[in-house]
Amino acid sequence: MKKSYILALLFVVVSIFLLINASSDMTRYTSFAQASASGDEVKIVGTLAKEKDMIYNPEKDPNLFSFYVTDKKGESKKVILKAAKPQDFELSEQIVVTGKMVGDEFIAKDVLLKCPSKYKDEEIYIKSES
Amino acid sequence: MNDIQYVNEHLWIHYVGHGLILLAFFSAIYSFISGIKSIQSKDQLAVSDWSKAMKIGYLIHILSIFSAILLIFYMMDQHYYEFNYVWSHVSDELARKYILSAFWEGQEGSFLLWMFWNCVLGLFFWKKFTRSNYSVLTVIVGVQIIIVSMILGIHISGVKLGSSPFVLLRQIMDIPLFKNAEYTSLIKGNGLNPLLQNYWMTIHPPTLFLGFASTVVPFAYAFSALWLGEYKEWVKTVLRWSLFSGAVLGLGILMGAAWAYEALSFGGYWAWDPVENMSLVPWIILIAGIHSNLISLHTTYANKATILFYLASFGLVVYSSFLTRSGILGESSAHAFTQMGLEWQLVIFCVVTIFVPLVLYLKKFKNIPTPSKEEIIESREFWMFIGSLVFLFSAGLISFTTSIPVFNKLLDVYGNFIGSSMKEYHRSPPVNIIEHHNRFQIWIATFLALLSGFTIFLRYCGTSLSKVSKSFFRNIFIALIPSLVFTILIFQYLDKQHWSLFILLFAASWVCFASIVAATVMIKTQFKLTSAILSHFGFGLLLIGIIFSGINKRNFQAENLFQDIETDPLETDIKKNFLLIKGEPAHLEGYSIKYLSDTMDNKVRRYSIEFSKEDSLHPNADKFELNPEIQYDNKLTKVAASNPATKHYLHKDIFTIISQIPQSQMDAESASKAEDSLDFEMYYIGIGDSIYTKRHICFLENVVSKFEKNSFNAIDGDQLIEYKLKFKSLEDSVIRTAQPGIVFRENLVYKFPDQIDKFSVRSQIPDTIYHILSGSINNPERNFFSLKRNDKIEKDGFQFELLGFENDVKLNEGIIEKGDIAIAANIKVSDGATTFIVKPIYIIKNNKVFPIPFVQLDPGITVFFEKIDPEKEIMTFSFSKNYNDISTLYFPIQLSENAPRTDYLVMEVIEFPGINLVWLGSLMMIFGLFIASYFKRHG
Repeated sequence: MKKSYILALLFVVVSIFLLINASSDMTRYTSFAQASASGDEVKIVGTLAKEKDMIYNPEKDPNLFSFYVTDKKGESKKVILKAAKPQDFELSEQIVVTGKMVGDEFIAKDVLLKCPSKYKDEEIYIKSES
Repeated sequence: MNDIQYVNEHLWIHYVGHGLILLAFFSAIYSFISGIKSIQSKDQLAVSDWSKAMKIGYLIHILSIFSAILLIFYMMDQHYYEFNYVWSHVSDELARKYILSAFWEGQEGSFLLWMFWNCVLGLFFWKKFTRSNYSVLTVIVGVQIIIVSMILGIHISGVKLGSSPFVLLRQIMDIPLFKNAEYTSLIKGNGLNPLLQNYWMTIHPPTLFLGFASTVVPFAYAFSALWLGEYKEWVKTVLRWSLFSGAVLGLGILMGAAWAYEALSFGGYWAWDPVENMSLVPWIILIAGIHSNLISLHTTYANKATILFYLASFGLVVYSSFLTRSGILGESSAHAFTQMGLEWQLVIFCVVTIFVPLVLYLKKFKNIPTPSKEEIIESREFWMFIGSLVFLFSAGLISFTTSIPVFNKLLDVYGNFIGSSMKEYHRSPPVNIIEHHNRFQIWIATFLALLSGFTIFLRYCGTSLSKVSKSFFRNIFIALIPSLVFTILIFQYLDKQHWSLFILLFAASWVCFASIVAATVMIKTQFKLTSAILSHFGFGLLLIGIIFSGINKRNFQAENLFQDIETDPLETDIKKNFLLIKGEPAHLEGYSIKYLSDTMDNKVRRYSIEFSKEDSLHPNADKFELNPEIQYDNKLTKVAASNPATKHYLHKDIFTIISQIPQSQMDAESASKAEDSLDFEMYYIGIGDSIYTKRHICFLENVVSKFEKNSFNAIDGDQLIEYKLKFKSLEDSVIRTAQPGIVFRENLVYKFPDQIDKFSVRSQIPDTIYHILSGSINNPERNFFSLKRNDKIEKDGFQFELLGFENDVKLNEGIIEKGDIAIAANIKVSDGATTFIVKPIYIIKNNKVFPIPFVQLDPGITVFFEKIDPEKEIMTFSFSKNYNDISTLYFPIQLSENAPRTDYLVMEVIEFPGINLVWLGSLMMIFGLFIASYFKRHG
């Protein structure tokens, strides 16, 4: 057999192997209920429950921030982030939390915020008279 | 709205600009068609005519692009805010040096930047008449047509084609402001995002875009090869271009990494963010293309692969701009462009640049010449080709993961088609994205490093192993020994000593030492290899740098004093952030870290953080100060960015970034919220007395009518009061002072609370102080006196001098109406100890008199304006004493004894060992590409 065919075959096999391997890292966006059931590390897309407590007390622990997120099914859970409170947290339109459920709390490793873009819906600034 | 005659608009720019873009568009089409005709014509005369037409069309095209760019600069520089693009990116406050950054901040500007480079690149093919030059230029112009269409800004039967930088604000916004014909004088710009106000934003985009744009040249060459059916010559000429492109794109990516590291808050130079990934992928493919191009050049193998790599490289650039510009990355990227409604146009761009060449490629595949003889395993080209394929794995995997949002979108499109929701099939990017990419890329890098190390000792067209074996094995051996020794020695300096890192470290050292050996034994005979050796050596250094600074970066960790709060469910967690209280040193990783001070300058709060190595023998051996910053937004209403500060050593960096500051310093709203959330308790206390509060003993030392601690720009008539308070803790004997202040200016009150962070005590003077000090205004015991202007009089220990009058009396609205007469007298009063100005007011309203007395708190007198005798110009005043002895008064004070501290910051400190190897290695790699490109050009 020609070397190039062996090479091509090898290439295809390795590619398939790598892609399957890479896909195994992909997760689904789930809900708190599903995360609770599976116990796996997941990503949850939701919004900040602004009416509930947001606690960050750096004097006590600068690496502990807790807040509530409402997932797309409407369920709210307490989320604990083991890091400092991110900038502009209150302004976020959407939050993606990565982590897992432990008991009734979601322990987050990482939080990605989607903030309103700079120009969207921005009011026009009128020069103040002086 | 159109019937309003607006003034001060610069409509000529609007029309000229639109005209230029249309001209650029149609001249590109003209040039493109002429180019095709000139290539396809058989008749020599027709070829010459068409090529002339093409040249002229191209000239008109670049002139109109350049003019449009200049026009945009002009309107930005002149602050013509009636234009949306100017309004969005410029403001009056924006320094002129940022005008370039503002220009390419937006999508339209960055498209123009891309086109600008394309125009410049095209000129290299424009001058000299050869068939291959013209077909390359035709392809470039073809691409240019699509890019110009992105900024056309025209509507064809309701479909938006492009977004023009010359569109007026009032054309895209419908708000009442535009009913005002003079609206241009009323608006001001948004300005440049403060995060982008630095020199990186000036140099990074043009470099990166030159890199992106220049990939069109190898693409055009490859396309032309297929089109013209000439598969030989181009392999030689394209190489200098692909090397150039690889160097510039590499430099652009490196600048992005350096920017991220130096100025942004990721805490690193590479975060596997989709935007970063998609600039890296075309580069990897380009490098693969360069390697297979070298094979084709020396051996005639790998022609098919080279064409495909070059086609793909540009295709991926377009795909990358689709990802970053269409908003599809939404949930997975922290920094993509904002959307602008051109998604479908970008999709078409992608489809055209990927499928047109692909179809052509498949059609011509059989015609591409390939040698009938197989490559032999002992040849350099065989292993180089394997290397190119490995590059493909790397690029493929990165693209695959980065494209997850695209797959989701495609599923939705399919779902729409079959009419069911595909939501449940959606996938999210990996939970731990850095770990995910590293897992693959580390092994790919290891493999590439091992491969490139020995391939360099092989020869093209493979002299069989037995012939080269002697020198080949000798060289391998000479390189192998030092790399093993080096790996073993250096491995112990790693924090994370995983076996996979040992192998990577060995592979990296191997490529470095192999390059050194190659340099010493081979350069004499094969001078051409210099640049390759340099780049490979740089690649090795880069890998060593990544192992140390990337995988082994180390957070300074606070000792876990708070373990008792709860057990840690994710045990791998590191305590990245720690708290620093002003003046109190924290001890971390052998350093004493102290927050010395912070100063506010313009929109930036700059912190002074002192680091000193705790070394009893050499106390000041390693002591330095770092100044991380908190940057507020243009309107000073919120925190826009946290700017890190880094101490550079030769062997490592210490990187600091502030992750949190007290709520009261973040923005006005949080500050007032923080203030409101305090529960103040009111106490009354006499001068020289002490009282017990909840947790302290409070002693009022003195009350003064000027500011000693607080600062305030006082004007005549302002009344300032400051307390001097002492607090003693009930637990120990520590004493702290507080000096709250208050200012009364006509009917305004300014409060200056003071906080003792050590005690969490915040003290402020309530408004009621005014009533206490002013006593009873209706005190019947008034002393009357009359004065003329500039007269003086002594009365009851006070001296009064009438300085003059003010007719322009400002009081609360409603008190003085039209037709009322209001006069204020300026009287200088002195009681021997202090001199002050009082301003009693006399108002005549509907023929009735309303005097407004002036209360001077210290010394406590109230002065009334009683009567005006206009004929004799004699004014009558009266005054009463508010209190006789200040020591008999009880002063009100509000205290909150659980005030959150305002003197701390939360910080992250990261040590990056060996980071300079990352920069040095990358630069060597890029430099190698540059000199190779130079040699290819100049022989």
